[in-house]
Amino acid sequence: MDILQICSLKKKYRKKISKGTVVETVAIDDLNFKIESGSFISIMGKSGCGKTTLLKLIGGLDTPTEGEILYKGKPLTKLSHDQLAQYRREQIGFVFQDYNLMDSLTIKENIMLPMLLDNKKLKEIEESVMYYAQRFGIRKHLNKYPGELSGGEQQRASICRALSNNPKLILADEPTGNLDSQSSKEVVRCLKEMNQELGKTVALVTHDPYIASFADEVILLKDGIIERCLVNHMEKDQFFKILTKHLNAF
Amino acid sequence: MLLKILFKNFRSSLKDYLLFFIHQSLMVVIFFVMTFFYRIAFKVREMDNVSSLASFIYAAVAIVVIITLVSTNMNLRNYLMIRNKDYNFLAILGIRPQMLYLILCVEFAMGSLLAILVGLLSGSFCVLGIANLLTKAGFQNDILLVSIWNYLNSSFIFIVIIVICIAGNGKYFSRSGNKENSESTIEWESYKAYDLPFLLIGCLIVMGILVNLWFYYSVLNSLISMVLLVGSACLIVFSGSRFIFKKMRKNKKWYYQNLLTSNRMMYQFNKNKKLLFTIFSLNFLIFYLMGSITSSYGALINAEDQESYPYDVVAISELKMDENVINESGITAFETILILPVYDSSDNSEPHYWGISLNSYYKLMGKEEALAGKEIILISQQEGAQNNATTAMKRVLTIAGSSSNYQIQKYFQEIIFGKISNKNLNNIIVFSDEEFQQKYSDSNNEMTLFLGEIPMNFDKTAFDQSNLLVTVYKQDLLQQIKNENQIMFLIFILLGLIMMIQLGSSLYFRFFTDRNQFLADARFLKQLGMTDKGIKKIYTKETAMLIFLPIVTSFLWSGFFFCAEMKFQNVDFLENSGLFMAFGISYFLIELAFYKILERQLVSHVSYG
Repeated sequence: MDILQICSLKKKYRKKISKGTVVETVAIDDLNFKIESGSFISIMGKSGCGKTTLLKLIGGLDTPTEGEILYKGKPLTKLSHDQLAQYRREQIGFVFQDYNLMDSLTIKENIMLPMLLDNKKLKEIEESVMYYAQRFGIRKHLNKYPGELSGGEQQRASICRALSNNPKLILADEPTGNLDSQSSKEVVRCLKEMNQELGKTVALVTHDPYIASFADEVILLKDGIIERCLVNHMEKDQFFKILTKHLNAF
Repeated sequence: MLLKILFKNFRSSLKDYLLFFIHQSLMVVIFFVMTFFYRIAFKVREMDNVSSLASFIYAAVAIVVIITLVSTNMNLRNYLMIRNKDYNFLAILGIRPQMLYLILCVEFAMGSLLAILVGLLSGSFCVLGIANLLTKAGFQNDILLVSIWNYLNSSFIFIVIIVICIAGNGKYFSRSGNKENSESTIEWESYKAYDLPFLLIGCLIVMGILVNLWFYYSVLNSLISMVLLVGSACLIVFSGSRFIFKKMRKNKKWYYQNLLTSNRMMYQFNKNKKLLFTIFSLNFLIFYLMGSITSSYGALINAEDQESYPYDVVAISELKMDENVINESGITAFETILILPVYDSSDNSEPHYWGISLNSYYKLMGKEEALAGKEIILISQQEGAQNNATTAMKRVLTIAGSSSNYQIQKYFQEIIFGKISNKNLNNIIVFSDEEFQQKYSDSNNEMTLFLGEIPMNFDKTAFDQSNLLVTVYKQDLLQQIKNENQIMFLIFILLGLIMMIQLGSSLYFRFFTDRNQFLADARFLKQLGMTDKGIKKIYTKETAMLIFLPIVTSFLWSGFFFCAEMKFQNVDFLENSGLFMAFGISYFLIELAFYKILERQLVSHVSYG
C-alpha cells in the first residue's frame, strides 16, 4: 500500500533581483513517484537539485506550485494551516542535520515535546520516552541538556523525538551531515531499526552513498527531476558500489 | 580591493547601523540641550547664588552621561552581535583581529561624526525652542545664549563615551570565534540553594528601608534607599520567580502542560538578566521622574496661586519688636505676628513648637473665613522627635546672617506662602487668642514675623540693612520659584525622554539581535507540528514579559517609594494626581504601542518561518 504519492509535483521560487527583474528558479520539476508503506527510501543528488525542497513539501512545510502530494490518498494542498500542523504532529517525524533540539529543555523534555503538543496523557508520554530512550541508548542522558551531549547522542535523541508520537513517516534531512563516521553508522543503524523493527516508513536525504545503501530504494535527483531510481535487491556492499558508480557518472 | 570589500560589507549592514546612528544622533541632541542648561545653571549661580538649582542641573548632566554610557555600551554589544557573522567571515578571509577592530573603529568614527553633525544641528533647533519658552517665562536673554562652548562640550562628551565603549569592547575581537552569540543553557538547576535566601534578603532589604526611613529621613538616606529598592526588587523578582517556578515544576501535570511557555519565559528571563535589570532601573527612574515632574508642576501652579497673597514682604526678627520700632526705621504698613516658642515639658533648652494666635493665623493666610474649634493645631509634632521641618524652622528663627540664605527663603516660601495648611508640617501651633495672650505675657523669647505691602517709595536696600533675620520679597521669591521650577520641569522631561529613548533602544536592539534565533525556534516548533497560532502565543507572552514585567514591578516599587517619601519628607505627590495619572497613562500607551510594534515585527515572520 502506498503511503505517499507524488503527482506531477512542481516547485518554483521567484526572486526579485532588481526593480522589474524577477528570476524564476525551478527547484522541483514534474516529479512523479510513490512511497510504499514500511519502505526505506533515500533521495540523493547534488546540492541545489531539490532534495530538501522535496522533503519540505512532503512535510507540509511548503506548498507546491503545481501538482499534488497525496498522503494515504488525501491531498496535502487541501489541508488548512492547522490541519497541516496536525498532520506534522501525528503523521510525520522529522530528523535534521543540526538536530534541532531546544537548548532550554532537557533531553527528556525535548523527546516529550511532540506528545505534549498532542495533549497525550502524562503516563503514556513518560512510558514512551523511557521506551525509546532505552532502545536508542540515551536513557542515562535524559536529564541532561543538549549542550552536554555529543553530536551522535543528540541525533539519537532527535530520532527518539521523531518517533515519540508514533508517526507513520520519518523524514530525515542529512541526519549524518554533522557527524563523524562512527556516529553516522550508529544513527543509520537506528534509522534502519526504526524501519525494520518498528515498521516506520523512512525518507532519507543524504549525500553519502554509504548511508544511502541502507535504503530499499534510492532516487537520484538532478535539477528537480528524477534522473534514476535504483532498487536495492542485493547485498549492501554491492549496492553501495553500484550507487558510487552511478554517482560518479552523474 | 580589500577596502572595496570592506566598504561593500559596511554598506550592506547600513540598515543595522541605522538604528545605532539614530540613537547616537539623539544622544548628541540631548547632550547639547544639557550643556545649554548647564550654562544656565552656571550663570544663575553666579547671579543669584542659587546653588541648589545649579547642583540639580549638574546632577542631571551626570545622570544623562552615566545612562548614555551604559546604554551605548549595551547597544554596541548588540550591534557587534548583529555583525558577528560579517566579522567571522572577514576573519575567515584572513583579516587579523586588530584589523577587524580597526574596521569597527573606522565604521564608528564615520557614523559618530555624522551623528555629531546631525545631532548638533537638531540640538540647535531644540535649544532655540527651549530658549523661546524660557524667555516667555521671564528669563533674561543674556543667560540663554548658545556659545561655541556648548557645541564643543556636547561633542566632546559624546566622543569620550563612544571611545570608552569602543575601547571597552576591544576584547570582543581577541576572543576566538566571537562567541558572544552562543546561547547558554538554562542555569536554574545550579542555583538550588540560593533562591530562597536571596528572596528573603530582598524582602528584608525592603523592610529595612521602611524602618530606616521611618526613624531617620534625609536626602542621602532617601537616595541610598532608592538604590537599595532597585536592588531588592531585582533580588525579589529574579529569585522569587525562579523559586516559584521550581516549586511549580514539582507539579508535573502543570509543568508539562505549560512546558514551552514557562520554560521559554524562564529561559528569556535568565538570559536577559542584565537587560531586565537595566529596564527595571530605567522604569523606576521614569516613574520617579513622573512624580518629580508633577511635583515641580505643582510648585509652578502654587506659585501662580500665591500671587493673590495680600502681603508683598515677609520679614522676621529675633527681637521683640513692635510696629513702632519698624516705623522708626522708616518702614510702614506692616502687620506683625508674634511667634511664641513652646517648650516641651521635659526639655526646656530648645523650643519644640512655635505658636501663633488665631488672629495672626488669619493675617498670615490672608483668609477671612472663621476656623472651627477653639484651638487649632496645624501641626502636632511627636514627642521628642526632631524632624526636618523643626530643624529648618529653628534655622530660620535663630541663624542671623546665614550663609545659606536661599535655603531659608525656600523654607519660608514653604511655610508662609505655600504649605502652612499642610498638616504634615510639624512645627507651628495656632492658639486661641485668649490662650495666646496668656502665654504672651509670660514669654520673653518670642520672634516677630512682619508681613507688609511694598509702598511706592519703598527702599529695599535700607530695609535689607535693618536688624532683621530674614527678608523675603514675594515677587522676587515667586519669580525665583517659577524660574527654578520651569527649568526643573524641562530638565525632568528631558531626563524622562532620555530614559525612554535608552529603554526603547536597549529593548529594540535586543529583539533585533535575537530575531534570527526567534525565527529558527519558530521554524523548529512548526516542524514539530505546532500551529502558527500557538507559536505566536508563546512569542507574544515572551515579548510582553520583557516589556511589561519591569514596568509593573517598577510601578509597584516606585509607588512604595512615593508613599515613603510622602510620609517622611512631607512631599505631596498626589497634589496633582490628575497630571500624574495623565503622565502614567501616556507612558503606558507609549509602551503598549512599542510592544505592539515589536510583537508585530517578530510574529509576522513566524508564518513565513
